[in-house]
Amino acid sequence: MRDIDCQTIKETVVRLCQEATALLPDDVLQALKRAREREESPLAQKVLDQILRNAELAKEEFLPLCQDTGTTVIFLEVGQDAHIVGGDLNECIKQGVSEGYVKGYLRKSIVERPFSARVNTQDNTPPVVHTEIVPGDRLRIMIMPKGGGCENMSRLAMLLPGAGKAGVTEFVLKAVEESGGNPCPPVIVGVGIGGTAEHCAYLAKRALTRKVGELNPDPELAEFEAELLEKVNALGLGPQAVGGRTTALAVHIEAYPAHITALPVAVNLQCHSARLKEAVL
Amino acid sequence: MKEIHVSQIAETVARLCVEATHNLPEDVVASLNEAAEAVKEVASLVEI
Repeated sequence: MRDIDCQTIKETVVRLCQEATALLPDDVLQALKRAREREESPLAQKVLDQILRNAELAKEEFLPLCQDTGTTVIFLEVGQDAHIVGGDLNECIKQGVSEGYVKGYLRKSIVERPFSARVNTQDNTPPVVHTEIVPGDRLRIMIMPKGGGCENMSRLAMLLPGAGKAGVTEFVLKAVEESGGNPCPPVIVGVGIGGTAEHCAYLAKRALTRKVGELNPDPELAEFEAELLEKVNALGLGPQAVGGRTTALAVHIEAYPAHITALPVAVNLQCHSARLKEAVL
Repeated sequence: MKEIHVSQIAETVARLCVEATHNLPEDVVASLNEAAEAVKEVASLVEI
């Protein structure tokens, strides 16, 4: 059993919120550079140049990559032999987000009563936290500031089992094509297949935490990812949907067994400011 | 700090799986009974 203090967790969350919004992960940066090399359209090239320059400036000035600093989505992996001391885990995570966004002058984008009053909570809380209990005594914290433009393009379908791979392909392509420029392409396409409705949606989001281009360890899924990426890029939407070869930097699939009557599929798109930062305590 | 043995968790899950598939929760049973009574009332009105 290992003790992890809530104050340490809070301070880590503060730091991760600020770093995640300013520093584009290296795997995303490299993927954007490779896309720039492949791109033939002058307009698409210009868009990618601007995206890359924007990332440079954000890093130099430690300023947000995008004005939309998003919903703070947090993935927690709590080791079953870790003992959180000095407070309530969920509360210290929330306090960390609050302090990170307020002190970092990051845009606060969360409203209470989204169906009616829509009052800004003023500190970007509450975050959306997904907690998983895992073996070990560590606490892994992943912070994903998720912009509204791409999140709003999320899709879920409960396909009939007979729809099979072709049905999943059609659904994913339609989701990307209909999203147009809204999710700020080039995107990362997170696909969840299987489970139940809510788990499938979770899988699609979780798929976005994988490093760009890191294939699923399951060979069948890895092959499907490559196929889908080729088809998504053949849509020709291109960077910021000005037309071009790079609509997506990657397609990541996470799958789970499903009910005999069901073939759930979910799509969650991540914009080119694919922000993600993690720490292990 | 309280320790919970994994075998106890597995046994509990096994029991709950069986119980959940066999027994409808009381609130649901009560709602169904209320609905059945309402249907009976409507049926009696129709007979009149």
